Parts: sequence; C-alpha cells; structure tokens
Amino acid sequence: MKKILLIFSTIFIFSVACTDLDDKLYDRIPSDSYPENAKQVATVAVPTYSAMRDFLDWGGWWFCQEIPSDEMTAPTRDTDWDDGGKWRVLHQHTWTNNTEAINAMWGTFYNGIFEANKAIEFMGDVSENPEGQEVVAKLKIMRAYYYYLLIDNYGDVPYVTSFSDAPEFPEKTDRAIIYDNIVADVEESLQYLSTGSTKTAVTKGMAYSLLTKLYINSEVYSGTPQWQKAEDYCDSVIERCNYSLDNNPLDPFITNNEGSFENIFVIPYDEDNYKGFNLHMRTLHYASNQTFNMSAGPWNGFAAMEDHYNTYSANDLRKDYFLVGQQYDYNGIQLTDEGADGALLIFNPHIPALEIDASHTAEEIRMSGARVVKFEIKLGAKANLSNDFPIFRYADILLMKAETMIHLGENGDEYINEVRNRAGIGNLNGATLNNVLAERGREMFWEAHRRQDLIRFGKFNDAWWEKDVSSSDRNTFPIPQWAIDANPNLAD
Amino acid sequence: MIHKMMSFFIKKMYLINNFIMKQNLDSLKITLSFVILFLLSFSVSAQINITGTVIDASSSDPLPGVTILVKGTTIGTTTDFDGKYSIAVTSDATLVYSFIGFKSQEILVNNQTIINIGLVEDIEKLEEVVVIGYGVQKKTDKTGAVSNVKAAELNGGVLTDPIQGLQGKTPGVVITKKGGDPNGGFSVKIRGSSGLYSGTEPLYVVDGVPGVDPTTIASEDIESFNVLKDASSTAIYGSRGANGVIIITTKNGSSKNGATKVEFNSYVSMDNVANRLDLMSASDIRQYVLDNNLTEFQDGGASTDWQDEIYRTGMSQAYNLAFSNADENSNYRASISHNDYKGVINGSNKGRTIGRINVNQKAFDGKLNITAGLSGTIESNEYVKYDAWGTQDVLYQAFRRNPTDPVYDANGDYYETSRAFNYFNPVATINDLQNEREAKRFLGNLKADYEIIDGLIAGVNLAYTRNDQENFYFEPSYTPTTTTAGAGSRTYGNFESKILESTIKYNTTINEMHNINFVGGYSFQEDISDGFSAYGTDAQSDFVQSNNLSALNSVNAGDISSYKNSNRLISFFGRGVYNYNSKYYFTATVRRDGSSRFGSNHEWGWFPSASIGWNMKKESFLNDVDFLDKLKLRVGYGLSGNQEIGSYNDIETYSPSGTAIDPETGEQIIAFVGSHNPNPNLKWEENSELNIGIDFGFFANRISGSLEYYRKTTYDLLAQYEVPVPPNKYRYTFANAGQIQNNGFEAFIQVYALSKTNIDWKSSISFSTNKQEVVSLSDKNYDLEQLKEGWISGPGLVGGENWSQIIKPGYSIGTFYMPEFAAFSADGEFLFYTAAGGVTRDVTLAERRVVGNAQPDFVIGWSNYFKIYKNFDLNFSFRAVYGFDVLNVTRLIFGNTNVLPSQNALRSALDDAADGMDDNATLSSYYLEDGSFIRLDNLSLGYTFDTKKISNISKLRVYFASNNLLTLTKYSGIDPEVSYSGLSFGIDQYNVYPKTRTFSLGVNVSF
Repeated sequence: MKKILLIFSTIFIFSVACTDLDDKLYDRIPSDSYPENAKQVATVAVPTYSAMRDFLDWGGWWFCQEIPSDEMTAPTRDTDWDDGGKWRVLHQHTWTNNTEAINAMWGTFYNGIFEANKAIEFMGDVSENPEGQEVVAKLKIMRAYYYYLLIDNYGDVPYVTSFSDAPEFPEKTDRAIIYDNIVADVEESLQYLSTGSTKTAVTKGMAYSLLTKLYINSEVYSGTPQWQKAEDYCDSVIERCNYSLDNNPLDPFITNNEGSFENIFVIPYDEDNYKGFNLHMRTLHYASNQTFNMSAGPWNGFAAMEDHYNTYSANDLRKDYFLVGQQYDYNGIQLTDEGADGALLIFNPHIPALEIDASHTAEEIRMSGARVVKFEIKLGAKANLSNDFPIFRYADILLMKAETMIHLGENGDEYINEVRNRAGIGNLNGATLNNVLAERGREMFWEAHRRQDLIRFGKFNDAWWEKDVSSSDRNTFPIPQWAIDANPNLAD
Repeated sequence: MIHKMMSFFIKKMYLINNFIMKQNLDSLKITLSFVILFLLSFSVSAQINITGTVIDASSSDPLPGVTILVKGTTIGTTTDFDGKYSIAVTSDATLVYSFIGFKSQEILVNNQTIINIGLVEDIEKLEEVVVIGYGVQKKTDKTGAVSNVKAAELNGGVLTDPIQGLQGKTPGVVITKKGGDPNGGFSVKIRGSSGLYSGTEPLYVVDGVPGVDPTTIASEDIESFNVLKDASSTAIYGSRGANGVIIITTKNGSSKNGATKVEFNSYVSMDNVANRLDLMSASDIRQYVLDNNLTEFQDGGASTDWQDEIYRTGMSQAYNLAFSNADENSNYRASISHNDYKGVINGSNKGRTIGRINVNQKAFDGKLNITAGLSGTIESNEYVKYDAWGTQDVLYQAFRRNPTDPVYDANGDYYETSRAFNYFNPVATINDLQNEREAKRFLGNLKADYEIIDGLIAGVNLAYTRNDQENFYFEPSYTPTTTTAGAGSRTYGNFESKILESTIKYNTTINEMHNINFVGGYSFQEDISDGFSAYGTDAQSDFVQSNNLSALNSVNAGDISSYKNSNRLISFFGRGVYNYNSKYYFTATVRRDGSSRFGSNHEWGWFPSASIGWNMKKESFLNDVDFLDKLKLRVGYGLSGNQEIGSYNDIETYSPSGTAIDPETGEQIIAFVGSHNPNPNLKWEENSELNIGIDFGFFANRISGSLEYYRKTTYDLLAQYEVPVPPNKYRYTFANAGQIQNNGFEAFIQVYALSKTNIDWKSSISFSTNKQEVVSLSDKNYDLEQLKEGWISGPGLVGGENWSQIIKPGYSIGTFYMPEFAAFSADGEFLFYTAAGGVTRDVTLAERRVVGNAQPDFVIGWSNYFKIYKNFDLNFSFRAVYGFDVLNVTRLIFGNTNVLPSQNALRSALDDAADGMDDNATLSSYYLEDGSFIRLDNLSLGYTFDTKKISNISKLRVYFASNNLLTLTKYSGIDPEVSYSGLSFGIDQYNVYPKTRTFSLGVNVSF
C-alpha cells in the first residue's frame, strides 16, 4: 500500500513539474534564426530587384521613356491602340496626372524603395559583419537607383530612407537635395563592394555606371553641371572593369545574352520564370507570329518613327534592328494580311499619321511603320521573351565619355568612333554634341534612354512629326492623382 | 437432536454469512444475526417456508438475483436463474423484494406459502447517472445544462458516423451533414457556437481522454453520450470548453450470470438517391431545338440520363461481434466491427474496421481500480470530386452535360467533345482518376484509481492516440481534364497525442446532510502532427499509377515537401460540489490552462464557473403536490475558452515558398517568405455564459424534462486584420478583437405516453432556438468593418461582385445580403430595387440589403419508442429545421435557358422562359429559397424472438430500418440540408452529394 502511494506521489510531482509552453518549431525557421546562411541572405535582397520586373510593361517606365521621344511611336491604328488616347498623349506631350503609364511608374519605383528600406532595416547593425556590410551597400545602391529614376521622371519627390520610421504622409524634397544624397550614398557604398561581374546584381561596374548617369545629368537635376566627375566615372568603367564591345551590334540583345561582354546591368527576364518582356508583342503585326513560329498572336502597333529610321545609313549594321518590306514565314513563304483582304504583308517605314483612321487604306492602317526586332525573337518564342534587358551597357559608357569630353573642350572622337566602327560605319572627325545625340539615337534606340538624352541636350520640347513645341514643364511628369489623393502633402 | 439442529443451522448460518458478506454489512450485524437465528431456532412459533417466483412485471421474464429480505432483519435470499426463491420465515414477517432498476415491494407473509411477485421498473432510478467532466454525478444532482442520451435512444439504421446517432436527440446540439457522402463528415454545433477563423466543433472526450476523433468508435460500442452545453459545466475543460463538450462512454463488460456474453449485430442496406434534379432529357432538348429553330445544334445522337450514369444503388453492410464478461473484481469487453459503405455516386466508398477492448480490474479489496482500453481503426476511402465547377467535378459535369451525348463513342472509348469551356465526360473522370485514402488510428489508455483512505481517491490517467493517413492520387496521362499529361501524388499525414492526467477526488458526507465532493487535478497534453507529400506531373506510365512516383517526368522544387508542428496544453483544475440534504446545491469549478498557441503575454488563462441548484420539490411547500415529482431550478455562470486558433499564429516565422533567382549568381534558389506580424497578445477566444434551467417531472415522472435559457457572449474572436505597412512588416496580423452574442432557449420533454401490458410508448421532444448577433468585429487596436462571404462562382455569372453574405455588427453569421429582386421587366429582364426605392436593370446599381438568413429559427426533434405485444419494437424520429434560407445557385446556373441547347438545363428553365424570363444568370434574392424541412430521419421495426427455450441464445432480434424515408420541404433543389459551419453556409452550388434513402435489414443476437 505504501509502495503504491509512493508511486502515485512520484507521478504527481513529476507531472506538476512540467510547465514549459514555448512554441516548438520544426518545419519553419523562427525569426531570430533567420537568415541562416548566405543563400537566405540573398533572398532578402530579391524583392528589391524584382521591382524592376514591371519596367517594360505594367510598370510604365519604358513607355514613358520611349513614346514621348522622337525615335518611336505607338500610333492608333483605326480602333486598335486607341485606349482612350493614353498612348497619343505621350507622343504629343499632352499627358495629365491621370495618364496610366505615369501613374504606374510612381508606384513601381516606390515599391523598389520600400523593399530596399525594409531589407536594410532587416539587416540591422552590420558594423561587425563585412558580408552584411556588402549586402547593405548593394541595397543602398539599388535604392539610389530607384531615386535616380524618380527624380529623373518626377522632379521633387518624397525622400524616405527608413522602413518602420517612415512618416505616414511624407513631404516632397527638392530634386537637388535628393540628388546630392543619392550620389553620396552610392559613392560611400562603393568601398564595400567586392569585385564581381554578375550582371543581375549590383557590382562595381553597375555603381560606376549609375554615378556616370547621375553626374552627366547633374545640370538637369541640380542646376550645376559636373562633366568632369562624369568623365572620371566613365574612366572607372572603361579602365577598371572588364567590359568591351561585342563583335556585332545585335549581340548584346540576343535571346541568350547572359554571356555578353557589353551588358553591365540587366533585368534577367525569362519566358517562364521571370515574365514581363513583351515588347515584341506590341511591335509585331498580327501575322508576324508565323515569321517566328510563335504560339501567341502579336498585337500590332509600335514602330520606329520614319524620320528616325531614316537616320541609319544604308551600310549601318544596325539597320537589322528593323523589320521592313515583305514579310515571310519561317519557311520562307510570303505572308499576307487577312485583315487587309489578303494583301501582301509589307512593312512600310512611312507612317501617315499618329491617328491612322478609317480614311486610310488597310495597308496604311495595319502595315505602316518599321517594326523593331533589335531584341532577338527566337523561333518558337512565347508571349514573354527570355532576353535580358540591359539597363547599363558599355556602348552607352563610351558615348557618354565622348559627350563629357566634348563638354570639357576635348576631342571625343576615339570613343564615338569605336561605337560607329562596330556598327559598320565610318569615322567622324571633330564630333560635336549634335553628332553624339544622333549617334546615341541610333545606338541606344529602344533601350529607354531617349527621353533623358533629349532633355539633357535641350531638345525635348522641340516639335517633331505629330508633336508641337511643348513647354519645359513637360520635362518632368506630374505626380499621379492617386498618390496625391492618398497623401495631400504631394499636392503643389 | 439439538446437535443435529445446531449443525443444520450452523450450515445455514454459514450460507447466510457468506451472503451477508457479499452485501458488505459489517461484522457486528453478522454476529447479531447468528444470535437471533440461534434463539429463533428454539422458538416454538410457526415457521413457514415461503417459495415463489419473481418476474419483471412488464415482460414477464423471470428476474434472477432479486434480493428478498425479511424486513427489520438481515435474513434473506436471492432468486435463482429462473427467478425462483425459497425462504423460511415466521408468519408475521414482512418480505422486502428489491432489485436494481425496479421499485421495491413489501409483502406481509401472513399465511401464504407461495408468493409470486412482479416487479415494476423504477423509471427514475434507471436514469441515475450523468457523466460530467472528470467524474459522474447523479442526474438529480446536476446543476449545469447536461444532456444524457443512452445507447437505446440513439438513432438506428445506417449511421456513417456514430455522431449521427445523436441527431435530433438533444436540444441545442445541431448536427448536420451536407448531402449524403459517406466520406463526408458531420458538423456539430452546440448553442450556435461561432468563430470566424477558429475551430467551432465541440471537444470530444472518450472514456476520459479528451480530443479523440469520434469517428473511430463503433456505434455498437457506445454506452451513452453526455453533452455538456453551458459554460458552468464546460469550464472544467477550460480553454477547450467554449464550443461545448460531448463525452462518449463506451460499454464496459457485463456478464450473463457469470458466463461470457457474446453479442453479434449485423445489417445489410440499400441506398438510393432520395431526390434528383429535374433536368431535361434528350427528347426535351431535341424538342427545344425544333421549337426554336436552332439549326446549328450538334446532336450527339444518343439519349443519356447523366444522373443515372453517375449514380448507383449503394449497398452497405456492417458486422459487429462483442465478447464480455464480468465478475465482482473485474470485467472486460472486446469487440470488432466492420462497416462497408458504398456511396450512391460511383466511385465513392468507405470501409471501416474497428477493434476495441476495455478491461476493468479491481484489486486490494476494491481499493485499486485499473481500467485499460485499446482500440484500433482501419479505414479506407475512395473519393470522387464534386465540390466545385472544374473539369473533374462530377456533379457539375453531369448536370450540364448534353443528354444527346453518349457515354461511349463507336470504338468503346469515352465520348468527349468540346461543346463548352471545360466540358468533360464525368463517367470517364470517375473511372480514370484515382483518389484514395488509407487511415489507421490507434487509441490506448490506462487509468488507475486508488482509494487511499475512505472517500479519498488518487488517480492517474495516461492516454496515447496515433492517427496516420495516407492519400493516393493519380491522373492518367490521357485524361483530358488537365493540361499536365497526367499527375500523381502520395501524401502522408500523422498525428500523435500524449496525455497525462492526475487527479485527487474526495467524497464525504457530514452529518448525513452535507454532501461534499472535491476533484483537483493536473493535465498535460502534447500533440505532434507531421506529414510528407510528393507530387509530380507528366506521367510516363499509366499502369503503375501512384504506386511508383518515379514514372513522373516532371518534378519541380516545391513538389516534394513535408511538415511538422506541435502544440502543448498544460492545465490545473479543481471542482467543489456541495449539497445540503440533496436540496440546495452549489458547484464551483476553476481551471488554469496554458497553451503554446497563445502569445507570450497571455500564456495562461483562468476559467472559473459557479452554479447553484435548488431542489424545490424537497421543500415543504411542494411536499404535498402529488402530481409533481421533481422540480429543480438551476442557475450557472462560467467562463470557457476556445484554443482552436491554430499553432504558431503568435510568432513570425520563415518558410520556404517557391523559387527565386539569386541576383548574385543568376541561379535558382529557394525563396523564404515571412509569415505574418507577431502578436504576443494572441490568446484564446472566450465565452462567458449564463444558463438558467428548470428540471421537472410530473405524474410519477411519466412526464419529465427540462427547460434552459442561456445568454452567451463570445469575445476576443480571432480574425485576420489588415494593418498599415509600415510600421508593420506584413499586411496581416492575427488578433483577437471581435464579439458575438448568442442567446437561446431549449426545451426537452420526455413522456411515457403508454405503459400497458401490450403497448409501451415513450416519446421525447427536443426544441431549441438560438438568436445570434455579431456585436463587433473591431476593437481599439484592430479595425474590420465587414467581411464579404458566400462567394459563388459558375459559368456566365454576370455582375460585379459575386458574394452573397455579409458578416458585420448587428447581423448574424449567414445573413444573406444581396440585391433584392423586384420583378421582371416587360422583356423578361431582372429588375432590382435601388437605394432610392425605384428599380433598375443594372445589378451594379441595385442596393444590397438583408434578404434572408441561413441560420434556422428553431430546430425540433421528435423521437418515439414503442414496444408492442412484448416482441415488437418500433422507433421513429422526426427532425424539423425551420426558418432558414438556402441560396440555390444550382438553379441560378442551370435554371436559365441561355445555356441551351449545347448544355443541359433544368426543366424549370423552360417554365421560367415561358413565363417571360429572358436574362443572364445574376446573383439576387430571386434564387433565395426557404429551406425549412421536416425529415423522418429514421424508422425501425424490430421483432424479438422468444428464446427462452433455446439454451445458448438469450436474445434474437431482427429488424427493418429506414433512414431519410421522407422529407417534406418547399426547397426546389436536391436537398435543403446544407451544413452550418464555417463563415458562410446555406449555399447549394451544384456541390451537394445527393442525400439517400436507405433501407436496411439487420439482426441482433446475444448468446
């Protein structure tokens, strides 16, 4: 009897002793153990980069850099691409703060900044941790890149560099002040970057290129030109990095362009796993899918402006950027256009109007304009391409070097000619700024640089084709109405 | 001579002594009786030898074991196996005949020599005990709202889950099942229990083990259900008591007079679809084509009734064999059951085998009591998919499929054609796809109670549960229903629960007036779940199915995964029960629960309760009211909690989620995603409930019952709230903020309407009504204005937002909030009311308003038990659910002629079109119907053979039973019974497995 009592009381005491209620985690990582290793750290930065995915489509950035420029156009072809005029206003510089592409761009950039701030704060205090310092440095440079795009497009914008302390209704900061801050951020972060040559993340080459862009546009952003500094950073890229021009002007844009020596920083699109590159669907004709054996049917529309197409001389290899003349399917058979009553499908670089209404012929409506195949469209391509889209490219650096040298009163021929020769055309002697602008137009076509170049060279407000002279107010886009509605401090 | 007489009496004494020892009388009395009898032996007065037979007055069966005592003495005997007895007494003695469950009788001997007695059942004594948490209580002593239903009162016939036996028997407990899928479970709601994101099923306690799955028990093994409904009874279960507690007690061993008892039960049954949709036939379609001159119609050339093709007559069978034996120190019961259900949709089946053994052993003079139970269940299921409107949903595909399409084409393959988007042959889907499950459950428990000193019992309870299940899924490469060229997966899910409880109980009575009962204890429970799944597509072999997953050519990161999680519950509890002379009762309980699920600021909670009872009948002013046998008033108040809030919702964790590209290397890596904002304030949902009840009995308890009124407030409701980012890291946080109120009334009346020799009729009615209101969804920290629920989907749905119900303060869950249909316009289009009071054709301009409610106004159950001519028994039970609405989405989609002629429609679509309706399917109150119904849940007629002459068989009964024989309702769809669980219910969206009408023949044999 006593034994049993003893056993019972032992069980009692034993059982009362257990009161531990902490969560036991098996299949998930508690937040204080995360990240465990370098690969997980890499995922911390991923959202900061993935904000760029929308640049070519819903994010609105590409549309806002190219369509308001003088090199390409998105004409309204009868009822196609009318869309309430949202494309035409971009060409004619008559947009409002309710225009779709302008609205989208604002959110896209701030999304990237938000993710960068969140990740920087997540990394916490990295003063003891060199790997952490490099991660934070790269995040700061990406954040600076998004702010560069914001001040480039909108001028005075809110400048927020913290996540949990972010004000609920931030006020606008002057463009010049933001400019100074981001330049300082990038320059200060350079020291933590290791040498690496990946094209999909921040590297020294990318940072130098960003600084080049910032300094070369300094007059626009801050009122004070900084050509020397711009030239110095061009030199950093040219001399301290291992980039070089590819043999053929089309090489940096092929489907598998990961190996290009020329691309410095790209958006790594993939037709299945990283979608967003569908510019080919916008430029190709409905029947062009037979040319490339595509499963998806293109939407017919975007084309190079006729005047721009004519700036390429006959022997310029870069004429291969365009699809003109009779179109063939991938077996070599001539294509016809059902919608034009079976007429032969012939692309004509002449576009009769921005709004090609029903008074025009079916050929004019459907087939006008030189279409763009600068980015390779492989056989069997899908609705999204796998080509990487370059943000910074070595040819751009060479042209900027020439430009800065001319501003500083030096001769930049060596650099501009390197680009021209690669394109199969002859040398220039005593190149002027106008020459540089024209060469940039031919070389950097379709890569979303034109608007910035035209503003820098003071030509953005000129009249061309269906556009009248526009006021210099148009050099920045208005802050979207939806952003003002959410934050009254953004109103003028 | 005296020596002879002495030895004779000594022998008798010895027998009597033994007898008296068994009655546990103390030794003083034994000595006394010896002396008296010795003295008596010298008396010269007349000693008569009385003999006779004692029988059960209602059945005329002899009653063995009846105690016959000479009143005022301890002289006595018992009846033998044939109910016969013999006793020697003086002529002035009075004999007292008593037997448990029967009213005692006293007979003055006088000069009789043969006294035959018929004992009458004592109704009150039979229903003596209810099981409450951690103990039992006399039914007359209860102070909370506790209902007790014994095995004999449960529903009979074919039960796909044992809880179905309780349907309609207990007021306040609403047990529903949507449709008749044998693989579909029941939802049980006690007193409108409600939660937004938390679990709302009650806690099941089986033989003292909390948290056991009730489907692992065979219905034949169940002795009784005890339902604890109000907080004052459930507070002893603390943070698991908020949704009510259902205590299931399994049968213990009993013997047939010392011999092993063997019972065998079996039935076979036939199920048929009780109600089909009235869809058009092939000739109706062809006539429609002719009438409307639809020249482009492609006639499939056949006449197929697609409902016929997917339905079948389901045959089911069940077998149950039980052995038991008992003696004064031990008893055991072992049973094995096997049930096979074939559902009425082809390809849906369930087979279940349960083995159980309960052993009870006493030792050390009855001071140590050990109970051990082991049970194992093996279940195998075959599923068909029918819950949505996808390519593989057989009900949707069968309803829409054109009856002119044949099942097979000329080559004997399944006929497929593409009349519409996602249009596939459901017979092919049923036969091609493999979707099966094997489940094994094991429950073992060991209880030991030791009486340390008189009235003080220390106990330990250990239990271990393990549930394992394995799912097999395969789509062959040739199935047209997917785009992946076949797919296969195997999934394992395992659950393990370990429970350790220790209790101390103390019972005492002071001065015969003060009855005191204490229970105190500690409980520790740890649950661990883990599982594994592997999935792949592009099946290169169809033969191996999911038995060999290496035949799948395409397996991506994330297709192989596994999980493991655990939670722990630790509690301290105590209860004190006091009653004064069984007149005034007072009970108080308290439980302190801690769970790992709660945030770090609220790890422990207190759950107290108190209840009082007043046995008014015992008061002097009611003493003389003869027709009143029982009148007791009870008031109880308590706090109980609901900890089914999910694990790990209080902390932030990171889990793998898909893949990403590492920007540094450009290669694929696994992406890790954070879960949600941490909330250290996360806690249980809490109920505070006031319950007032009255128990009554009239006319010798021929009419008895109880009435209950309750007010229940549930607060700290768990929901997902949207919070600003920044400063929070994620958009959503789980927090406790809302509040719901449930008030209701329950009544239960039991009537022994007839108790004659040839006919016995017991009837019981249970009535309950509950009014629910969402008081608030927000608090000062978290804000949620409303939740849109009841989303419907289907082809051709026109209009903006297709949600039909709203959850917001002032309304109950299940409130239909839709545009209100006004009338048809002249050209047959829908007109809806606008906010201004006018009408509009544009549903996006119509005003949404409250147009109905899916919660019933009241629920009534009416059960009847007849015993006719001693051998026949007849039971039938009705259930009525009144005052709720059902949104008939099946009619919304299929009741419109615009799907004709390529897809099928209801015949009512032609009637509506003839009346002028000509519009697209749009969500509005036009499709809201009254779902009130009365259902004859089960009817059984049995005949018990007279087996007195057959030596080995003690009972043989055959019966015929029917489930769902009759349903009366105005609802035009397949069945109005849609389950009441979750955040939205009351919607019939071509996803209701048809309810069946079952006929079964069965036999019960006891050896």
